Amino acid sequence: MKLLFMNALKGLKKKKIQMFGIVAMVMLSTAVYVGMNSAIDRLEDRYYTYLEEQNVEDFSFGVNIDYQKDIKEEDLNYLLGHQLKNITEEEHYIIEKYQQFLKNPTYDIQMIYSVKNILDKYDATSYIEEKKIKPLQNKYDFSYELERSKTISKDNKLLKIMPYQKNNKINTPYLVEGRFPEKDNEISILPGYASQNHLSIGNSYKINDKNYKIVGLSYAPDYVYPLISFSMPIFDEKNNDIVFMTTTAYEKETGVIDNSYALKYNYKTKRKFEITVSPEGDTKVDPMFQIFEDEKDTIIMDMNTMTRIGRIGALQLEFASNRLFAKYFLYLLLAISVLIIVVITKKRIDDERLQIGVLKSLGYHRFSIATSYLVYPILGSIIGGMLGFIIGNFVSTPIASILRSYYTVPLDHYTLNLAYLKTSILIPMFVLSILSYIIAIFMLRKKPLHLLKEGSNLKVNIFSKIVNKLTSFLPFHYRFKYSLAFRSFGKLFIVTITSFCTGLLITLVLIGSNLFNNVIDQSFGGIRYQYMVMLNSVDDQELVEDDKNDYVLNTSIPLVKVTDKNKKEKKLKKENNENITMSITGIDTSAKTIEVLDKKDHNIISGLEDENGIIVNENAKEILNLEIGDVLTFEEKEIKFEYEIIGFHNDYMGYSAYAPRDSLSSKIGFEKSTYNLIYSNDKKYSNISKLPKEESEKINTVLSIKDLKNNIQKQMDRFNGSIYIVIGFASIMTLIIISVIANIVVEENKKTISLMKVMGYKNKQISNIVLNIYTPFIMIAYLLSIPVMKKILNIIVTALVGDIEITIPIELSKIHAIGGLIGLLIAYYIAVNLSKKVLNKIPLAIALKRE
Amino acid sequence: MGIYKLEKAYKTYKSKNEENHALNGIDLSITEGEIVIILGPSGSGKSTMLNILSGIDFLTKGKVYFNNQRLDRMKEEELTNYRKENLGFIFQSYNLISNLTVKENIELGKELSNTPLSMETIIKEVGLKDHVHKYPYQLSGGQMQRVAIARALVKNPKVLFCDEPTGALDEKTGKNVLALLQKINQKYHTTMIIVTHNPSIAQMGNTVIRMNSGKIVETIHNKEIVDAKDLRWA
Repeated sequence: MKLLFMNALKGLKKKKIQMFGIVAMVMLSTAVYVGMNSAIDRLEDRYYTYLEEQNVEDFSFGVNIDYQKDIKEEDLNYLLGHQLKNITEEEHYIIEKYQQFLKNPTYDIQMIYSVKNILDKYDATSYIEEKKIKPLQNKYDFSYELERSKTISKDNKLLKIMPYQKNNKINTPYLVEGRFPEKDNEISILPGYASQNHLSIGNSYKINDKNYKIVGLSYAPDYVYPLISFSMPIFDEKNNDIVFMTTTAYEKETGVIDNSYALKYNYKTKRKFEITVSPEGDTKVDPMFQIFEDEKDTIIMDMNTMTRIGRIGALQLEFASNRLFAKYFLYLLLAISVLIIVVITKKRIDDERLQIGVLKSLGYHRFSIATSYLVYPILGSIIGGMLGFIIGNFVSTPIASILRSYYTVPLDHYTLNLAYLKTSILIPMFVLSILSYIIAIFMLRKKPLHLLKEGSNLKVNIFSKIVNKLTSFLPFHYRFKYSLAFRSFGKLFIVTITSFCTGLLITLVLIGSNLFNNVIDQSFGGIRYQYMVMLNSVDDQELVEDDKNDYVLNTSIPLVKVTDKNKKEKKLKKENNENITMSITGIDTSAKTIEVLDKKDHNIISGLEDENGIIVNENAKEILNLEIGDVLTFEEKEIKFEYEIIGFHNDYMGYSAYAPRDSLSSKIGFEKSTYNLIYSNDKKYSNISKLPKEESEKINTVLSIKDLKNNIQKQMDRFNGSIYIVIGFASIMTLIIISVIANIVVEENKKTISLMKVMGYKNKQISNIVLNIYTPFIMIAYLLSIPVMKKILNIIVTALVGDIEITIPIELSKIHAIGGLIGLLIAYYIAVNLSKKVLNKIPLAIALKRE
Repeated sequence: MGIYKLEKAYKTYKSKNEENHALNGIDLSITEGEIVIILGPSGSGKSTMLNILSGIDFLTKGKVYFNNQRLDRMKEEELTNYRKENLGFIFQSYNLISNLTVKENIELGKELSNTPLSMETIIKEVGLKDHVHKYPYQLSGGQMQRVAIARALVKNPKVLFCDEPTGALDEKTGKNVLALLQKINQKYHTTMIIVTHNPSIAQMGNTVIRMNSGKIVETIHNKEIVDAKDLRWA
């Protein structure tokens, strides 16, 4: 056996390309595995320690105030003596009326909103909120703090300013360098923002026309993913910053206020958020969120809750998905390596069949003969694994930097993890060796006499015979080509599978790019406004008509019933046994800043001249199976109303609808023409701090559509860049694999090639017949991969977003599809051309050799 | 008329400390339409001679002519064309393509020629009419050699080079193959150059060239040509 092993080792010199192919595949797969995992290790371990050290909240919450029940006479008396000491006469009158109202409370939405406005204005709401929260503290054993912040938007920059309070126990800021602000003109900022804007400690920094001095670089630990505003959902290190300042400085600054309560249980909780889905499709969240269910009269999940879970927990998803990708990528490339080794082993066994026959006749068992074929997987794993480990460690630093550019979290120092060396070598060695050994044993099963018989390897397989018959009408050189292709089904299979997998990868990234563009186009399709101004409360003051602003009323209300044209009730989908909530936007048909577009991009807003008409979104139509003419019944507390569907608008997120503003106001119980949103093209909303106080105080948030589009476009450019990297990578993989296969094809057909040269065939003719045999299979495999990937994506998207009410269209344009195919064929022809050189060098004398 | 001519032909192989003169100053002339037997033991230079005449190998020194054209001055592409348009080859180990049928193996030769012979005629000539759809693994040694002959012949070559055509065959089959070659020579006037170590075959040729150690030791022009089937096998 030693001799066979030595023989195999010597033979490697002649099979450089094949050996290179195996080493390259192992190296690629282990480099990605080691690189990704090393990068994630540096972040992940530090991340969980960071959350503990900075006592990061378990979640944030809002407080539900029932204005009919939660506010008592004594509360109002207290507030009138404190926070409401300096209210106006008119506001005093409303409070008095409210005191009367409390003696016999009914659902008077106008009254409720009026009182809410006053309490919000004078920051009196927190008194009521604290009263409601305190009893729950002991019951659930938690601590809580009010997290205050303001968002300032100016000139494409988005800042979140926060007061730095030494005594804060939850979400304690993390100092990277320097110190925290002590004086009112001092601030600390994000290190990434400082670096991208060439700022450092000691530099000046302007906020709302006021100059501050940078004294430190810091992180806000509850902003691991710094989602500051939905105007810029994708973190942009250069233009997004989190600033800590003294409390006094904070109070003086203007901006859109964003407060929420942060809760931290007083016992150790799991930091890994878990959401499970039962077989019935119900979603069950982590038990620590059970309080929302049990105390829903007090504690509510609001937008803040979900975004803050995302801000803190998004990185966990990143870790999990990246590790998964690295693992399966390793397995995929190893699987392809196994296929290549199978082909090489089969060829060797064919070439050495006489020798093997002799050994078997002498009494050697096939199990021991098979061990000599372990040379390829063992050497390939050792060399490829070591190289992969080295390269992986080199690339782990840039990978960690890329990952971290999206997050604000400390990074551990680089350490060499030798455990990955074991993984890089042992896993490939184990997988490749075991599978190769099993296959070799299978191939060596033939009896010695059969192996010794001349021409025993010349038998033609059934596929070749069938193909021969099917292609009998084709010209000779095509028949010859396909007979060569089908002679070795193993190689054909590898090429086809490789092309199929590459096609899947290319299709995935191209659809991903298309997806983004499609969703953005559809989401922004009808929007003509630059700013969406969300008010703290409803307003109904008389407005001056102008071209820049449209006044809008938005409300969310449960949909309780759907009846069709024939007044027959339709079965209505529920979520967690509760009615679906639909967001209804009341707009005027004269709106200038928005169009309500249907699937064909026609503006159907004029349909809302029917005061009982409603235009529902496409997503709701598909999920709830709605049709024009269906009547929707909405109900909450004492409010109940109906609308008839008169059209569908082209939006694929959530459940939303447009209705006439006046009729919506009336149906809810407001004064006619009430509004709580402004769609505006007025530039004054680009900098809230410059607005008059009476105006800025009314504003809850301003969403800048321009900033949002720019932000997403920037991310798209980055994503598009990564598409080319993925396609390039897939092409390189294809190039390596097909080069190996082409090299094996040339080797296998050496005698035929030599014969054809002797007979008078030119090199070009020979390479066209012998090498260029896989083109149709590659094209078919790629074309098959498109519908398969579309189907896979549809299944994944449905599973992921099914409960989040988004319909995402999965499309691939023809140009993209053709582009992908061209990329793949280019890789193929390069590989073939590399093997042509080997083919051209085959001497004529081989044909003349006597056996 | 002379179809081939060698003038002071040398072919030398150099290894580390040795020079091996595979052809050692050969002068030779071959007439068109002849059957020429090149006879000699292993290492005598007969295969080298075949390689030089067929343009597969190059002389170290000397001249080689085909129809008055210098083969030794031709470039690779010209030599490929020369083989394509003028030569056919038959090998000891048949060199059939295993995944092509009998008919397709013959077609491999036909594809090269601008003036091929009829496939059906050739197939009938070599006696393979009932085997056209079979694969090489389904044929006997003699049948495989007939396929090789058909493949070479369908090109309608001027010259047929045969390198130990009966080397892998038993006596009876070998004689049948040689008889076929003789028949082809008579019918198509194809010049045949047969390289062999078997002296029995010498009697079927017009000219017999004996070689040893790279030199021609004897050239015999047979006055009587013996029918291949009557050859006495050594």
